[in-house]
Amino acid sequence: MKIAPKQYATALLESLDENSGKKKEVAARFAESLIDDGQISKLKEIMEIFDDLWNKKNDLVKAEIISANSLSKEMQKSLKDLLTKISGGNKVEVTEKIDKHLLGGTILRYGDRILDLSLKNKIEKLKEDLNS
Amino acid sequence: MSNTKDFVIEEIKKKIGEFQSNPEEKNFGRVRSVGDGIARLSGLSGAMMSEMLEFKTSDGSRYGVALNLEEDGVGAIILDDYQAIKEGDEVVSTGKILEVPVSDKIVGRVLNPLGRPIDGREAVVADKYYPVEKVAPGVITRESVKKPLQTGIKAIDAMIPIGRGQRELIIGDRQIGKTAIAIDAIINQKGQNVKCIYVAIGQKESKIAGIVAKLKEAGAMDYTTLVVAGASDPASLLYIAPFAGCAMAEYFLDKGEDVLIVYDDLTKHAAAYREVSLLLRRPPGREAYPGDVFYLHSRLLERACKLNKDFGGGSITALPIIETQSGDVSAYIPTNVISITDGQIYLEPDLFYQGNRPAVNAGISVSRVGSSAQIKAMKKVAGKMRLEVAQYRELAAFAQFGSDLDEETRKKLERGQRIVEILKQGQYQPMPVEEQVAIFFAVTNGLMDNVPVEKITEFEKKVLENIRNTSLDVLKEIKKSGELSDETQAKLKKVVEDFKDTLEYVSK
Repeated sequence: MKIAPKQYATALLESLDENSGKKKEVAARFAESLIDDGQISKLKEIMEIFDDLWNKKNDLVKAEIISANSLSKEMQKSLKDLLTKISGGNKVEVTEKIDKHLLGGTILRYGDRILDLSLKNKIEKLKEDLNS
Repeated sequence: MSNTKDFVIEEIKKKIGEFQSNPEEKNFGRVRSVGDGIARLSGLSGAMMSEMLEFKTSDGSRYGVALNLEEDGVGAIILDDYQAIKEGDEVVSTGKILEVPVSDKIVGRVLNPLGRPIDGREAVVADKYYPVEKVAPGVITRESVKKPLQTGIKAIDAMIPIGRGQRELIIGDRQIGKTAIAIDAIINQKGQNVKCIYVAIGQKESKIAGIVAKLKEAGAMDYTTLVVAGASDPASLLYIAPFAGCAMAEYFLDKGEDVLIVYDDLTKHAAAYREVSLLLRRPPGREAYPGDVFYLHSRLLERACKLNKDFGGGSITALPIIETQSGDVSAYIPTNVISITDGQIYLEPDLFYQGNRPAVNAGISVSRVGSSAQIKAMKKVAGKMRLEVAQYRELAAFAQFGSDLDEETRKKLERGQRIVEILKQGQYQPMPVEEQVAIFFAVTNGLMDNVPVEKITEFEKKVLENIRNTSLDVLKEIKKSGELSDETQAKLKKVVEDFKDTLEYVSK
């Protein structure tokens, strides 16, 4: 009987819950059972789904800030506060990235919503506007 | 010179100054898997049904439509080439339902279902964007179909007349003349104030090229638009092609105009929808079609309607085409579409090979609008024709066996043979309604009874030429008033009799 990746992820989540002290052992046993079932190739997919389930369970929201230039400390703090406010009080785990291609401004990503405030996006919108 | 340059620069500066860019929050997701024109996406929890999605690939943006909204992801069809999309690419929702650009400039163009030009000319500058999926007009906004849509084909205009706002199915086997009827109907709309849209779904590109050339030659491109999703286009484009064509028709409908739209053909459309549904893992039903294939065609054809004066008074007449396998009209898709349309035109292979072209079987063809969509003159002369043709066919089968027939039967046979000869028509030769009335008048009043059957076609051509030369006013009168007064009848009779006297092969 084939077990879906989602079922594996849910099983892992529940095992970690029940055996809260023995996280390493649970993880090792999980990996072994995957190899036994011949499903180790699906590990990436299972971990993605596990990530989502984990975040949902612990009310975590993953957020990303991508900016063209590195941001000052105050800027970073105020953006983090904004993200926490938007996500409705959930804990926000923020990662930061620098991408020169944006030319300026930032892109804020939280959960599965995106707020594109980059200069590149504004220029593209301007181009569309001028062409119409 | 520098003035215009300065002017242009000022204009651009002004536009930039007025530019407002409001930050919009969008849903985003990632491509989990992609292939065969389908993409499975994770995220996008706020996506709406039939919403347009933008795939941000390294090669620019590609667009798709969300069709499957599942618990942990979205299944979408990709509208452009899907080779540029990779697993892991970002997808953003646009907040818009799929739309096509419409304006008066689409007339005379050949476009793809997304409104992009494929005739090598410039892009269409949109006046408006019309949604591809739309709810059909309600009961209160409609009116009954009364005005005729002249196809120019004698067999149809006489016995299975079509009105503006009707849906009439053209059904038959392959290579039987289905597209030919549609093209003749389009060519005949010249000067009738009807815009035409021909939607080609899954047709060979060579066939489309031929059709465009023929329409150009007949001057029909002045009022026709082609929407083409060729045989090598992805199934997603074939799926949206008829809806895109209908959206363009609705633009003209909302302006109060009459539109004729031809869907050629819906069998390939259903097959493309089946392909997309099976790839999206929707459960297959009868003949592997998905469960909602009836809804697919009904929502398309219900958008063809006649609106009452309060809503502009425009109309969309739809001529969907269905290809049957070996004349099997009880297969799944044919029965579906027959139950949706207001009538069908059956084309039969037997009639075709006997030389009766267009191979219309008037006995089982139906127009549920019927004679309310005929001008009074045509009603008068063609009213009994259908019955006479049907009776002739019955008797003809009988009469093969012997030559000892009574006078009654023999007369019926002779008359029937002449009517059947009259109904034959060449391709790309639509006949205006006043000439049809003249010919039918001649044959149903016995004026052709003494012309030998083999000479009927030639006689028809010559007598029409003669009428055009000598009594053009009679034809104009019929066209203008739509009636056949006693006076006009007498004039016609005299012209035909006089012409017959000049021919040797007419027996006295």
